[in-house]
Amino acid sequence: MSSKAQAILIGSRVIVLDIEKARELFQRGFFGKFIGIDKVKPDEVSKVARPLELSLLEALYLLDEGRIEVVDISGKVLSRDELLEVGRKYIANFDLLYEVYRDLRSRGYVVRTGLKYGTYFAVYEKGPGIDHAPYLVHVLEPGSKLEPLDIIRAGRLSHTVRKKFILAYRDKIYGKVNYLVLSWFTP
Amino acid sequence: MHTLEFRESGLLVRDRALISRLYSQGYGELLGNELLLLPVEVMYLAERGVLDKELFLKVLKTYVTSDPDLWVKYLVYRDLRSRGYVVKGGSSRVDFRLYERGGWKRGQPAKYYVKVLIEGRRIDLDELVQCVNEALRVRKELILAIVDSLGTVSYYRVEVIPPESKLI
Repeated sequence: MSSKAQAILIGSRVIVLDIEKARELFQRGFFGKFIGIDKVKPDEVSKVARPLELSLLEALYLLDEGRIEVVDISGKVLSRDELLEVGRKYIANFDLLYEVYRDLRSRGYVVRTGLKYGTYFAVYEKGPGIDHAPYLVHVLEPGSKLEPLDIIRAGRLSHTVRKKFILAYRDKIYGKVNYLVLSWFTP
Repeated sequence: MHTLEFRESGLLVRDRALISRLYSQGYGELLGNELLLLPVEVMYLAERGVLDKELFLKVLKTYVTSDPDLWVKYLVYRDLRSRGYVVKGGSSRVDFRLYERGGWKRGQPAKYYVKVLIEGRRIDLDELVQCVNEALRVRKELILAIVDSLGTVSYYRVEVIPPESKLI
C-alpha cells in the first residue's frame, strides 16, 4: 500500500480530499490550507476534518518529494512534466518561483504564500502559528530593475513584522538561487 | 583664506597646516605632500565655514557638469558627516566609504560601502548584485542611501546569503 497522498487537480487547484492525508501534509511541513480555515494551530490539526488545498508550487514540490501523486478529475495520474505545464500555464514565472520555493524549503524553512503581506513568499523558521511573524521574500526576475520606492515600501512592510526582508534572484553566472537580505539601517 | 587648486577629480590643498588639520579629521586623500578633497568634502567644509563659504556654489557649479548627481551625493555625504561619521570616496561603482564612529582615528578600514539611490531612478538588479559582491570582496557591508525627492535620506543594509546557509 502506498503512503502517498492523492491530490486532485481541478483547474488550477490541487485538492487533497482524504482527511488523514490532509492532516499529515499540514502537520509535516505546513503544506496547504484547509478549505475555509485561515489559521490552524498545530495542536488543533487533529480536529480538522476538511479537504486541504495545495498551491501548484506546493503540489510540484510534494510530487518531487514523493509525498503525493496528482491525478486529474478522471483519475489519470499526472507526470511531473504535466504538472509543471499546468503551473506554467496558470502562474507567471512559475519555474523561477519554484526554484526559489524549493531552495527555501531545502534550507529548512516553511514556505507559504506571502500574498497577504504583499510578497510572493512568507517564510517561517518553524511554522505559521509558532513563529511570531514570517520573513518576507520577494522574487526578482532576471534583468529586473529596482525602483528605490520598491525597496522603501518593502522595508516598511517588513518593518511592521520583521526587521529584514529578502530579495530572491537567480544568479547570472552560477544559475543558482541567491538572496539579498535588506534591513533598515540607522546610522 | 587658503587657495585650492581645481582638478578633475577634486580640489588640491597645499597648505601644510590645513592639510594636517583636515586629514586628521578624516577629510581627503593624501597625494604625496598634497591633499585631494572631493567636491562634496569641499562643499561641506565651505558650508561649515572651515573653508571659504563662496567655494560652496563655485565647487557645485564646476563639478555638477561632470557629475549630475553631485547635489544628491552631497546630501548623503552631509547627512552622514553631520551624524559624526568619517566618509570618504568610494569606487567606480559605489559612492562612499563609511567608517565606524572613531574607526578612522583608530586606523581601521571603512566598515561600509555606501551606494546612493535616487527616488524615481531604477537600478538594475545586476548592478546591485555587483555592488554587494564588490563590497564583499573588500570585506565591507553595502549600505543603500535612498534619497527622496525632497532630499530626505533613508538607509538600508544589504547582505548576501551564502548557498545552503540560513537566511537570517
